[in-house]
Amino acid sequence: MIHFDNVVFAREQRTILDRISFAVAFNERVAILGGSGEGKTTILKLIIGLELPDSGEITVAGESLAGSSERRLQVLRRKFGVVFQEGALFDSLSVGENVAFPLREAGVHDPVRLEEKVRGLLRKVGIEHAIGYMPEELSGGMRRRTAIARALATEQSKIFLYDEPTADLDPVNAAIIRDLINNLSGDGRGFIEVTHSVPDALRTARRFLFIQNGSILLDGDARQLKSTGNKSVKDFVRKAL
Amino acid sequence: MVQGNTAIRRLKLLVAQVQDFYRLTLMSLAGIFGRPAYFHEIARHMDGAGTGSIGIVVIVSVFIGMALSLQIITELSVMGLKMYTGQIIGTAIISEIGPVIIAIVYAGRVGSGTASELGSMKLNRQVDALRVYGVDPVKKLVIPRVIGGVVVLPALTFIGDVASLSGGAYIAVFIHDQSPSVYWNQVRAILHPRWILPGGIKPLVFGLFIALISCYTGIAATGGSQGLQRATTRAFVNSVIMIIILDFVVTRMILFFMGNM
Repeated sequence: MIHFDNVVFAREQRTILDRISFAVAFNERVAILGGSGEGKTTILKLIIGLELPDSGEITVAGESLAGSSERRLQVLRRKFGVVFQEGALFDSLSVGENVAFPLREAGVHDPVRLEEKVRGLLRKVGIEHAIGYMPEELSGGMRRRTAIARALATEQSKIFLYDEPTADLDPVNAAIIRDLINNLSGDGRGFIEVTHSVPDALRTARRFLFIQNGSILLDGDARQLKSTGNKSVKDFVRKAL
Repeated sequence: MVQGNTAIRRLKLLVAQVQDFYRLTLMSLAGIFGRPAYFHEIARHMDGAGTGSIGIVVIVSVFIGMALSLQIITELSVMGLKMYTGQIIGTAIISEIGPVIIAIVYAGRVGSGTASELGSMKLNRQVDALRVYGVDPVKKLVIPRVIGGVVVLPALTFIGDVASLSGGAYIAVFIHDQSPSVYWNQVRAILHPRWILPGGIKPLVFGLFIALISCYTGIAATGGSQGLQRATTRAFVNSVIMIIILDFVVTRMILFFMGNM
């Protein structure tokens, strides 16, 4: 369970999140919706302790992130498979080496076992043929798929975090990524997806949080999202659909 | 009032940046001997920064040595003191010009590249990705570059000094008909701790600070491609300013401890 309790986060005299509270179970399929700069990505960063709140409390699996050492946070981060916006692949490593990175850090060094695992993960996302490619040789969709394969390599992960997984992708690649998100959440591992695309969110998530001006304006299912009486949410959804 | 608020905000930002820089410096120095040690990264950076810089260091140094020799030998010839050319060039190159010029070349080639590379990694979330996979960015990205700077810059400075002195010898011997033995004996005469020590210590200090400034500037980069450009420029400018200041400080300290001041 991930728990946000009255979390406030401000940067450079601007309040990005203003006393927000919510809880997400590890097996839930959640989309965080909102416009650009509304703090959606900040929520993901707060969940994995890459940023710390100014006040309020965040707990992951019952453990508070406040005051946790970087070493402790590293242990907590293993509960998450994180797919950053545009993949965040390591430029100097090939696709195979990128996917092998978390495995190596987790202590897998046997080259035969590593290659077997990496090929298996790349096969899962449909790009085994690209194992030797460098990130600059990949299309946007292939970069996301590599990033998803790398996130899958974190075997202890209980939930995936996706930051704008379909942003800037053509419809075909966006559909491939959506299918992957849906398929991967079938084994009890849920996800939190940050997106400004309502149609993509509706095709993947079951629960929706809408954020604006640092506050959660809506927390509900697809029906509540579409029939909400809140004007801001209504306008956002209408424009997006 | 608005201007006052802006000034206060800028001052606060500057203080915060200085704090962050010192924090990074302390973390880097404290982490050098800790585990895990990324030997492969260290070797890669030493190779890139060292081997890749030899060509430019030799070219720059040879021409500086030749220009210096041309200037000095012309003036000394007028006074009938041409035989001291090697000594004056040796003193200037080994204790002062060599370390400073090579450090500036290093800051331009390696320091700017470091800021650009780390800035790009930061803006593309690769630094965040490292942290997610349990890797300390300071250990993986900063410490190998700091070790690289401290080891590589003294070696490059030595190569540059030799190239500069050789450039100076070319002018003295082939253009101004000075005997090679006179020139090199005069150079050998200044191989004394008083001149060797500054020439040995300065590159260590410069290498450390160029690496730290470049890494900090890169990791602190914000604001897309323009931010990256600003970070790269800032890394070079700040490094050069720091080289000039440290050059004075180190020279002063060495002369003080050697009892000459």
